[in-house]
Amino acid sequence: MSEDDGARLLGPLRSVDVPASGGVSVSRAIRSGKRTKALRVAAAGVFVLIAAGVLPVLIRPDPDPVAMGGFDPLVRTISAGSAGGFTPEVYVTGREKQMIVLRPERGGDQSAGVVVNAARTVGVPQGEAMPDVDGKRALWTGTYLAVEWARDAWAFVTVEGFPDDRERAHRVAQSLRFDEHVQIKVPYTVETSWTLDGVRDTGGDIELVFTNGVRLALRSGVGLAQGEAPQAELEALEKSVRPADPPVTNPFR
Amino acid sequence: MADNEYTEYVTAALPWLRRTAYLLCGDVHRADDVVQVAITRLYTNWRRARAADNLDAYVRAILVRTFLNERRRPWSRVRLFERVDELRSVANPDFETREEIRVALMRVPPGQRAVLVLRFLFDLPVAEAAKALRCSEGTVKSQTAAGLAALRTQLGVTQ
Repeated sequence: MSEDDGARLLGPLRSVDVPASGGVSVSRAIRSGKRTKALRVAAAGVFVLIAAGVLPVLIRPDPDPVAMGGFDPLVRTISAGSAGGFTPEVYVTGREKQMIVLRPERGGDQSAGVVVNAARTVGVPQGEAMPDVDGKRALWTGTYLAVEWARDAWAFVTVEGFPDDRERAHRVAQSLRFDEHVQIKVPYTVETSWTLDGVRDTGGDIELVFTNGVRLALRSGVGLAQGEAPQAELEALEKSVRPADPPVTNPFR
Repeated sequence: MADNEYTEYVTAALPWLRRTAYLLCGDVHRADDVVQVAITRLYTNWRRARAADNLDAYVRAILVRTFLNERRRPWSRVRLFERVDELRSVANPDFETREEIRVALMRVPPGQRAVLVLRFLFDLPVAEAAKALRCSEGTVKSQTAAGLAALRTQLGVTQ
């Protein structure tokens, strides 16, 4: 096959329209870039201290270490109510974080999301102090609301598209619950050696997400796998899917 | 002053950056994520970028590498704040053809896809594509051949 065929095959994509979105912000890039530069300077300083033998003297062990947190990807521990003009649409579990995607109750282009990180998986955010959320410390970073939902564990709430994003984020945060124990029920079983990373639950439509990025769903009674794995492996995964009625809490055979 | 220059450049470049990222990612939200990370990296390397012989080529290289690097992170495949994409059904043959090709392109492995996009949609010569991807010209050629074969398979083209 000649390379001219490449131009011919892909030619129609030259006129593809890129859907509009407000997802890129130059000012956000500048803010993040400045933080990265500052971290580089700090890291250089730490290196100098290590080289000079100063740091080991300054560092003391944490007197009350908290173990690195983690979630069971088949158990959802968070929930959100309808608040701030949004209602939950998708729940995503994961080993280090769980997420909620919310949609505007009255339709529209606005968006909101929640990321709940396990303990010590993200550093302490910087920002302006906000009223506590259900007794939990809260900060406004300029782009999202950070809530310390447990010791050294932070949840982030973002709202975009309203003039009062910050206040709405606070209301969404107040609707969050962090002590749920919802065992995910999967309407199919599967046979694979891949590691489960999390589960996407869109109104009861359950997709398994593996650590290699492959997503597996049940469509019209058959498995549908999408991702970057070789086609043969995706097909093998799809073929191993068996509908389960009633749904199961452990989908792996 | 440097911030003003950066802002001016990136604002003007955003349309082609988003377009490139969209063709690489096939999803506008992921494309925006890739562009956001790429322009942040550009900001932190702005002094060096400004001194480059070809600033656009320099920025394109950052974008493509960001795309390839982000694909390797497992959680990057699950968007944090994504809206649930709705399937669009449009009775338009051109649209359907483009969608068919776009979907087929998304099934080509990312490295090969990047080569195809750079070479056949942005008309980069082999040498420039190799520079953007930080690989040899031979690799670009072999990835092109493999990518085209994969694309043909996906499209069900037998010749």
